[in-house]
Amino acid sequence: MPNKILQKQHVSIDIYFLNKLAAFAYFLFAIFGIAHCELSANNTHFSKKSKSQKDTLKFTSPEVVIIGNRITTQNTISSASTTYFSKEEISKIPALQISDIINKSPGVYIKNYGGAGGMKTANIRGTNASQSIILLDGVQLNSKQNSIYDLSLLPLSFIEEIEVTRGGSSDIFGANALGGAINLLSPKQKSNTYKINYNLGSYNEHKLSLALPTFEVNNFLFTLATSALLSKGNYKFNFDEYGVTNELQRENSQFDNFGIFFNSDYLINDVNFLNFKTINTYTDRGVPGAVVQNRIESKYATIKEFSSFNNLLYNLQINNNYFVKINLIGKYNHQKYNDDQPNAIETLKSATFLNTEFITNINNLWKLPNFNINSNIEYSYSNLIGDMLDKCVGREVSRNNFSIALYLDKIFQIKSNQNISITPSGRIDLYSNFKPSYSYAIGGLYQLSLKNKSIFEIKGRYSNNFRIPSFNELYYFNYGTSDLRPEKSQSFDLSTSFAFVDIFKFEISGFLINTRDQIISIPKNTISWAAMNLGKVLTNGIEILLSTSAFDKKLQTSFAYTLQEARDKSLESLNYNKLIIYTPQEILNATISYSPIKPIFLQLNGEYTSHRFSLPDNSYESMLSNYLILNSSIAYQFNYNKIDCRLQFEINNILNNNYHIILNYPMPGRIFRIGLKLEI
Amino acid sequence: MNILKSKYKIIILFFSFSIVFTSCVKEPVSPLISSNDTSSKGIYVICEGLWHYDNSALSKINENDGNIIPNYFQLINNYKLGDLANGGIMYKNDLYIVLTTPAIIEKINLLTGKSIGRLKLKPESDPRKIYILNDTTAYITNLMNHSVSVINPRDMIDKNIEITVGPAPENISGDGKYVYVANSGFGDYLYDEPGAGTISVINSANNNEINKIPCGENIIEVKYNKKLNRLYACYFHLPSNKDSVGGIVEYSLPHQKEINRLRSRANAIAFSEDEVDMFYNTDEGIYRINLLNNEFKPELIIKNPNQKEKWYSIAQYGNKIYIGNAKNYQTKGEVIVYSMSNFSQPIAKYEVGLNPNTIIKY
Repeated sequence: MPNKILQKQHVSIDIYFLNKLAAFAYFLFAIFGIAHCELSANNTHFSKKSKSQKDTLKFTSPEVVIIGNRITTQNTISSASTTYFSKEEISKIPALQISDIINKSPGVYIKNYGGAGGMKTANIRGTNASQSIILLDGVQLNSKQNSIYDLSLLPLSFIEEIEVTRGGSSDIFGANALGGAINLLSPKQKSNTYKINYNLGSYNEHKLSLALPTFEVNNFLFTLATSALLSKGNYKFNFDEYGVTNELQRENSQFDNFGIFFNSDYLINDVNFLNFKTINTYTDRGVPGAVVQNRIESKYATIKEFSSFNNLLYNLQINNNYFVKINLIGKYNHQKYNDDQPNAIETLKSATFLNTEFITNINNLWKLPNFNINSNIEYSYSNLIGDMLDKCVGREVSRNNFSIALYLDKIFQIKSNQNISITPSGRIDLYSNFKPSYSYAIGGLYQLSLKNKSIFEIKGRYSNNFRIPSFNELYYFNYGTSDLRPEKSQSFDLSTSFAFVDIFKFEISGFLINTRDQIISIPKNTISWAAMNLGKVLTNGIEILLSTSAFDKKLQTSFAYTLQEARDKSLESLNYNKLIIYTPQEILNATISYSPIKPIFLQLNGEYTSHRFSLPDNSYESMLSNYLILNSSIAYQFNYNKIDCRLQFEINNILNNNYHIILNYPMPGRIFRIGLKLEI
Repeated sequence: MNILKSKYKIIILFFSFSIVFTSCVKEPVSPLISSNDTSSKGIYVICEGLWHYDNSALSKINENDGNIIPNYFQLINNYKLGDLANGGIMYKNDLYIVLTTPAIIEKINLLTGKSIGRLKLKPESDPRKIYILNDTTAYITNLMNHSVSVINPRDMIDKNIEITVGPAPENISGDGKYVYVANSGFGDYLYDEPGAGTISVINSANNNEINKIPCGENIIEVKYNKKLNRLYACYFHLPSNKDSVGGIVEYSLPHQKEINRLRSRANAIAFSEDEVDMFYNTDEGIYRINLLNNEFKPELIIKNPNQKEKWYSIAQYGNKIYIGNAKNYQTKGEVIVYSMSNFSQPIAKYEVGLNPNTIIKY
C-alpha cells in the first residue's frame, strides 16, 4: 500500500533534522566565521554609534521612479492599482514564505500544491501564473523555460518590501505582465544589528535566518544574510477511498531550502554608487503527485535546484534633474529532476535543465518641474539547455530580446492640494524568434491632499500587453508547438480611494482584461497535451481594500476582497462562457490585530476562497469546494540584556479544515509554529 | 470621544461581520440523480476520465426511455470508480473494469450494478486492458512493467504469473488458444526498444511468449475476428513525427501472416456483430471495411460534422452504431447513436462521463 495510516505526529528534533542542521551549521560557520573577522576589524566603527542609532537608516538612492527593470519606489505607476507591504507590515505578519504575504493583497490568488515544499504561484486578477510577473528589485524572475516563478524558492527573510501592481503593465515591465506584477524588494537599509530568527513548526519544520549588521570598510558597505527552511512536510489529511475516509500522511514532500544574500555598495560620492548584489538559493525537495484512490503519484520524484541571481548596478546622478542607472544582471538556474520509481520508463526517470539569462539595461530619468521623463533600453539573452526538448531543436534553445521603453508623468497642479497626473507610456520589444511586440498605456490620476497626505484619489489606466510563449510551450518534447503566437491583452483599470488620517483607508477598483491568443494546454488524448493558441478570455471584477486603525493603533484591521470572473470567450470553444479553471470568483483575506498591552500582539486572520472548477466544462464533478481558513498568532516583545526579543506562537488552519487548492493535492491541516526573533 | 469610540465599535462589528459573511458567490449544489431504472439492461459506457482527476465513471443508458445515469457506478456503490478506467470487458453477467493509476480491477455485477470484487495488482504496474480466456483465466497488460499478468477473474485472484512482452503493452485480444498483445513502445519514449511496434503472441497453454509479429510504430489496438479467424491491429504514428500517419494491419491466422495494410489515422476499431464488417474511427468520421472483400477498401459512412470533437470509441449492436464522443477530452462526453440503415443523422445523443472509451450493450 503506497499510503500509510498516519502515525501520531510529533514536533520533535529527530535525526533527519540534526543532519540537516549540522549541514547548515557548517555552511553558516564558514560564512559567518569570515564575516566575523571582518567585523572585528571594524569594531571601532560600530562602537561609536549610540543606542538611538540602532534603528536602521535609509541609505541608498534617491526616491525615484525608474521604469523597465529597476523599480525602486512604491508608486511605480501612479495611475495603476497597487498594494504595498512595508517592512514594518511584513514583520508583523506571521508568514513562512513570501506567498503568505502576497495573498493578503486584493486581486491575488496563490495556487499552492501543499505544504512548505509545494509549488506556489501568484495569479493576479484572474489571469494565470505565467501572465503575472514576479520581480526582484525590478528584475523579472519568471523562468523563460515555463514563464512562471515558484514563490517557495526565495526566502522571505531576503525581502523587505513588496509592491503588487494590479492590472496589465507590459509597457513598464515587459512581457508577461498581463495580470500585473509583484515586485519583491531586497533590503536597502543599513542595519546595525545582528538579526536571528528561528521557527519550529509542525511536521518537522525548522526555519532559521541570520543577518549580520552592515559593515563598512572605507567607502564599501557589506550586508550578509542567510536562511534555511527545512520541512518534512509529512502532514496528515483525510481522503475518501472506496467509501471510507482514511487519515493519510503526505509522503515525499520534504523541503530543504537554503539561501544566502550578499549586498555590497561602493560609495563613489554622496550621490553616486556602485552596488553588487547576489542571492543564491539551493532547494532539494520531493515533488509528490496527485492523491487518487489506492495511489499517490510521484512518491520518489525529487527536484534539486540551484538558483543564482547577480546584479551589478551603477547609480549615477548627473545633476539635480538627471539620473542614470546601468545594470548588469546574470541569472542562473540549474534544475535536476529525478524519479527513482522502480517501474518508471528510463527516459522519464531523470531530466536536467540549465537556464541562464543575461540582462543589461540603461535607465534614464529626467525630473523636470511637474514632469518626469523616464526611459529604458535593455538587451537580454536567455538560454535553456536540457533534456526533454523537441528533437528538432536538440538540447539547447535561446532567445535575444532588445527593448526600448518610454514613460512620461505630467503633473498638473490645480490647486495647492489638488493635482492631476497623466502618464502615457510605450514600449517596443524585439525578439530573435518573434515579430516585434508593442505595448502602450495611458493613465490618469486625480489626487486631493490634506497636510501633504493624499486623502482622496481617482485613477484609471488602459494598457496593451503581451506574453511571449515560454521555451516549454514552444519546444517541450511531445508538448511544445513551435509556431505559437504571443498572447495579447487589453487591460482597463479604474479605482478610487479614500483615506482619513491614519485610521481609515478604503479603496475600490474595477478591472477588465481582454486576452486573445491565450496559450492553453489542450489534450491530444487523455494523457498527452499540447500548447495551442486557442483561447480568448475575458476577466473582470472588483477589488476592495479596507484598513482601519483605532485606539492608538492598538486595534488594526485589514480587509482585502476580490470578486471576479474569468470566462472563456473563444467563439468556437465547447466551453464558451464557462469559468476558467482554478480561478475563484471570490477571494477574501481579513485580519484583526490587537495589542491589549504594549508587548503583546494578537492577530486573527481569515482566508476565504469560493469554489473553483478543475475542468473547463465546469461540471459539478470537477468542482473544488470553497474553503475558509482561520489563522491566529500571539507575539510577545521584550528586551533582555539589551537584546530585542520577539516570541511568537502561531496556529494555522485552526479549524483543521481539509481542503485542496489544486485537485487531489491535499493541503495541510492544523499547523503549530513557535518562533523567536532576536536583534542584537 | 464616546461617539468616536462608538464609531470604532461599528467598524469592528462591520469588519467581524464581513469576515464571516461576505460570500456572494453561491456554490453549485449536487445535481439530483436518482435511479428509478430498475432494469439492468441497457448500454453501459466506461468513461476513462482524465489522468489524476480520479474521475472515471460508468454511465448507464436506458434506450427505451432515454434515461441516463452518468455516474451509475458511484450512485450504486457510493464511491468513485477511480482514476483512468482504460479498459473493460463484459463476461457473462459481470463487467470487469481496468483502472490504470490505482492498478485495480473492479468486478461489477451488471444485474445489480454493485461491485462484487476488487483486485489490487502490483502497485504502479499501470494495467491497461483485459482479455478473458475463460472463467478462471484472464490476461491484463501492464503498461509500465512491459508484461502481462494472469488472474483468476471468477475469484479475483492474482495468479502471480507475469509474462514479459514488448515495451509498454496496450491492447490485448485472443482466439482461445493464443493471446495477442500490442506492444506500443509508449510513443516516442521506447519506440527504439526491442519489441516496440510488435504484437506479442502468448501461448495460453503454458503462458509463454512464442512470437513477436511486426506491425508498426506505436501500436495501440489489437482485435481478433473469430468469424474470419483473422487478427487486426491499429497503430498510431510517433507524436514527434508530426506528418506521419498510422494504419490498420490485417493478419491471417494461424500463420500470423500480414495480408493487408491500410494507411490511416485510425484510433479505434470495432467489428459488426456478425464480424463481417470492421468499423474504424478517424478525425473525418467513421469508416467501414467489408472484410469479406479482399480489397480491404474503406468507405466513409458517417462524417464527423465537427472535427474539433474527438470521436473516441465505436461499437455496433443490432441495427445501431454507437460512437463515444470525447469532445475535447475535458468536457463531458456523449454517446451518439446512428441507425445502420441511415447514416445521415444520429437518432439519439446521450451525455455520459468524460472520455467514453468502451460501449457495451447488456
